[in-house]
Amino acid sequence: MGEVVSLSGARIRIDRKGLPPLYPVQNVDLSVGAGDRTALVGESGCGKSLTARLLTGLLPRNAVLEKGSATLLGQFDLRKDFPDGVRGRRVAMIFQDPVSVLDPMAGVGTQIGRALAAAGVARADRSRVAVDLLGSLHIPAPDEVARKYPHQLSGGMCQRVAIAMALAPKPDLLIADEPTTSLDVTTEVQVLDLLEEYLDSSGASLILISHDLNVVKRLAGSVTVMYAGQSVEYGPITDILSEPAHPYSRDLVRSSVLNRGESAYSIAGTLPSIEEVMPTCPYRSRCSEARSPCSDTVLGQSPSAGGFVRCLFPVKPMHGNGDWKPE
Amino acid sequence: MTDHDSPTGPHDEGMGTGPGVASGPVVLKVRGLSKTYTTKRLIGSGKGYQALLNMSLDLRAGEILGVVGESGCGKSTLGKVIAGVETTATGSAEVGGQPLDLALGTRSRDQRRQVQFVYQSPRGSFNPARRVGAALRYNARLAREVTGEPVEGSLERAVTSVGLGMQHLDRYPHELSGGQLQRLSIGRALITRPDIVFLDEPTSSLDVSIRGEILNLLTGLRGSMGLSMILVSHDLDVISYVADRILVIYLGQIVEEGTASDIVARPAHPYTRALLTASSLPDPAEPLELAVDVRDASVVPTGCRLAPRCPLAEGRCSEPQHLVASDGRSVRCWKAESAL
Repeated sequence: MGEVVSLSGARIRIDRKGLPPLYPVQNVDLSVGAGDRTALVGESGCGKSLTARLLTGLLPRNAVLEKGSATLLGQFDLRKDFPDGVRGRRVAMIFQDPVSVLDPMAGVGTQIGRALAAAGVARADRSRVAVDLLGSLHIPAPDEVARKYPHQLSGGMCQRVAIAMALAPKPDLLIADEPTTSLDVTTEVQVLDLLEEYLDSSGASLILISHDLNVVKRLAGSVTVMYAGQSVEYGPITDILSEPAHPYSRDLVRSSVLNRGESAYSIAGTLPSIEEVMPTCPYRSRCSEARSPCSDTVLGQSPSAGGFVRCLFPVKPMHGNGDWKPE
Repeated sequence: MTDHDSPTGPHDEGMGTGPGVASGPVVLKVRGLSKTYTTKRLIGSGKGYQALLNMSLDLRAGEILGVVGESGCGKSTLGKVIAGVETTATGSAEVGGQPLDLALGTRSRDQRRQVQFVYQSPRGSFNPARRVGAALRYNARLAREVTGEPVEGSLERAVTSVGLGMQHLDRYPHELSGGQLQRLSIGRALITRPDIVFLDEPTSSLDVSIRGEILNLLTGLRGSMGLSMILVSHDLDVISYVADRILVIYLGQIVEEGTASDIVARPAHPYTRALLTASSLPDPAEPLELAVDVRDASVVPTGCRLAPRCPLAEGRCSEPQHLVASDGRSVRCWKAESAL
C-alpha cells in the first residue's frame, strides 16, 4: 500500500461567526508507512487532536483543510469529502474519555456488536465474536462483562471495551488520541500493552497522540513534535528523547524530567495566537536559541538523522538527559 | 461506621512516626478519619461507599506530605474533609493542638482560615465573569476580620509570594495562562496565612512545560514561609519530586507510609511497587503489575482491599490487614512486613 498517511503542509482553518478565523493547524507534515508506529507529541492547543480528526473525517463543520495535501491509505484525497466505508473499518480511532464514547443506554456486548455489524460480521456470529474480542483483551469473564452497562465498569474496563470496538473491524490504521490520559497509571501500562499486542499481531499502523513522553516511548518508534500548529521536528523516538534538534523538543524533554533536589525545568512565556498563520518560527518568543533571523525567515524543513527539523539554529546533540536513555 | 478494620484500637494507624525530614511540631493531627458516601434511593436504603476508612496522619510544620493513589481512592475526599468543604465525616482532627470541627458548616472563621484548599483546575476555580482580584479580595476581607491585616496588604503579600504583581488582579481568568492562574489560586490560599494548605492535583491540568514552574513555587514557599502542605496526586513522579513524606492510599486506606526517598528506593507494599513499576521512575527491585480491575466499586473486600488484583495474594489476605509501623515506615500487608 505504501504510505498509509501522507500530510504535507496541511493547514486547517476554523471559521467563526463575527470573529477572525483560527488556524489551529498551520503547517503539518506527517508521513506514516504501513506498519509504522508514530506519535504526535505536543502540549494542549498544538493541533494534534485536530490533525487526527482530519484523518478520520471528524473535523468540525466550520473547519476546512485550507492548504496543503492530505492523502489517506494511499488513495483517498482528504481535500475532498471523506470517503465512505473507511472510518470505523479501515481507520479506527480510540478516544481519550472512554466513558463518553460508549452509549450509556446499551450493554457493552450490544455496542461491540454494532461495531462488528459495521465491519460486516454476520448477525449470528456477533455475540460470540464480541466475547472473543473481550477475551483477547485479557478481560476476565468476558461473557459477564459483555452483559454489563458502561456505568457498571471501571474507566480502564470501559477503555478496553472502546478498544475492542475499534479493533473489531481489524483496521489498517489505528489512531489513538490520548488513550490512557484518563486512566490510572497501573491501568495505563496494561492498556498500552494491549495496543502493542494488537499491532504486533496485525501489522497495522499506529498514530499515537499524547502529551506524555513516557507513554510515547512505550509504543512509538518515531515521533512528530508539534508546536502551535506546526510539526517542528520528526525523527526516531530514541533520537528525539536523547538528542533533540529543535529547541522546543529539547525543552519539552527537559521539563518532563524531575530530579529530586534539582530545580524543575519549565518553559517561560505562552503559546502564540492562532488567529493568524505564522510563517516564521512560532517558538521564537520562548526560545533560548532565538536570534534576529528567526523573526523574519520563513522556515522550511532541514533534514536531520532519519527525520526533519524546522529550525534555523538546531541545538547540538545533548547528553545526560536523566532518564531518557534510548531503549 | 465500626472500626472492624482495626482490632488493636481505633487509632493504630500511621501515627506520624515518620523520621522527620521536617521534625517541627505537628500542625495537623488526624485520627481515625472515616467517611462514607451514601447514594440516595427513592425506595429502600441507599448503598454506602467507604471513601475513607480509619485514616490517621500527622503533618509537621514546614513539611510537604504527598498523598498518592488512583482515582476513587479517597485522596480528594481526605482534603475536602480536612478543609471543611465536604460533608460530615467521623474521627478527629486537630490543628495546632486545637480540635477541628469535622461537621459541615460549623467551623469558626478562624478555623476556616487555618486550612486552605487549592483545586485541581485553576480555570474552574475562578469566576470567568469577574476579575481574578475579586476572588482574592473576598478571601482578604474574611482574613481581615480574623487577623486584622488590611486587605490591600494581604493581597500584595499573597501575589508577590507567588511571583506575580498587583496588575494581574485586574485581569479576567481568560486573560491569564493556566500557570498564572494556578499561581493566583495558590496565592488566594496564602492570603489568610493558613497553617495548612491542601493542594488537590495542582499540576495535573497544566502542560508539562509549565509544571516545573508550580512545583518550584511550592518548594520555594516551603523554604521561605515554612508552609506545611498536603499535596495530592496520582502521579508518583510529581509526588516523589516534591514531597518529604508519602502516604500511599488504596481504596480509602493508607497502605504504605514513609519518607519519599525511602518509599521510592524500597517500596514494600505490592500496590506501591505496581505504582513505581508503572511510573517513569526507575523500576523497583521487584517490579510488579496488578491484575485487571474488575471489581464492583460498591463491593469492598473484607480483607486486603488490593487482594483481588494482587498477583501475590494468598489465603491469609482475606483477613483484615493492619498497618504495621517500624522505624518510620508503615505498611499494610502481611507479606511485606518483613521488608520493613
